[in-house]
Amino acid sequence: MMADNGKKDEALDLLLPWYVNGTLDDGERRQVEAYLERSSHARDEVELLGALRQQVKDETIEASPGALGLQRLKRDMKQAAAQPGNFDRMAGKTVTVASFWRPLAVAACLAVVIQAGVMIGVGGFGTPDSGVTTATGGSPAVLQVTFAPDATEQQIRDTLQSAGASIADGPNALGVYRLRLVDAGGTTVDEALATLRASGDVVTFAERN
Amino acid sequence: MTQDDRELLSRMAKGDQSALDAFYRAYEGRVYRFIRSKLNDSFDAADVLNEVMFEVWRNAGRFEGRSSVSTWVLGIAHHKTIDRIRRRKPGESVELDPEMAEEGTPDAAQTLSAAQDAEQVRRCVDQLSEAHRSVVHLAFFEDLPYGEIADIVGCPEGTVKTRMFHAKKALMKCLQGLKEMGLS
Repeated sequence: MMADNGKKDEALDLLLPWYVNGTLDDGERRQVEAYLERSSHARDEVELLGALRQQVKDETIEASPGALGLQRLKRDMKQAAAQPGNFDRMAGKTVTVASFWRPLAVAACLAVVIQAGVMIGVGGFGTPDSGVTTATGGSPAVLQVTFAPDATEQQIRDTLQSAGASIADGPNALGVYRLRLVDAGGTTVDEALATLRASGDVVTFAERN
Repeated sequence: MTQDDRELLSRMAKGDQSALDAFYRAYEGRVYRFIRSKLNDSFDAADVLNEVMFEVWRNAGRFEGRSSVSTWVLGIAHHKTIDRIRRRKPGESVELDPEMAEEGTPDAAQTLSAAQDAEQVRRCVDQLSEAHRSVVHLAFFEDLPYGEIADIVGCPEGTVKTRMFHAKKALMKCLQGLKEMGLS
């Protein structure tokens, strides 16, 4: 009898998380409620699970991509529709490649030029002994930023240098760059983040990676 | 809401981009949060979200209605995220071994105070394996029944229950460890 109860209690233990989130069916819920009446262990577990659930619900994370993400999705849809043999699902016609590839290609080239300019600039100001890392350096990316659309390469370079950071990756399709700290700079992540956030006319978003 | 979502998918299958707009607005935040809970990387999470929504657009006509729309979409997000994790370099993240974590698991009452500290819970959840984080997120953030979670992650219901059990034990061990180090 003891063994049967033990086995049954183990099975009921597995149901406790779903008792806490309120999704058990009536039969299972009644079994768990009877278990709770006779077991202080089960009551403690439920209290703990309730606290964990609340923390998971309350955790704040950065905003989702939102409208920018939808723009990116639609751009990718257009690109896919433009592939040879693919057809635009809306119109049922092949999309003219040049109609949207040209501005996208220009934008992509500009992004590469800006990124290369920043990387060259950072590397150019560093001496062999300075320990300044290029974008291919080894330290991990610790920050994410977006730059103002009208920020110049000079402004971006100055901002990164003052923050003690260099570009590690990006931009992705949302224009987000990942930054790493310059090894020899001695700057902490918090200090770099504060500097970037203070550059409101150049940096539009800065957050830990 | 479910009927509305199915209607949106039906319109998307016919190429209606206004339906895609509405669908994206309805699900984007929820799907992003699920992906983010598994990846711990907002950069990658935004990429995977885009892949998920693209697949929803391309396959809207294939939705058969055997599950809810949200289960279908979160299932796509689950598999896309797994693909992304597999492409990452091995050893990029250190995760708790649930078997090891169960050795000397403290009582629930002992870890309750630590479980009320948001920062400590976040740190410990981050150390769970992807499979365990998924179940914790779907059960505690989405408040989904175990059967629906099983559909999303593609495993038997019993596996979902045991994953949650192991995840809870690992969290308790981690929280107790932080408590003993005076970090909570």
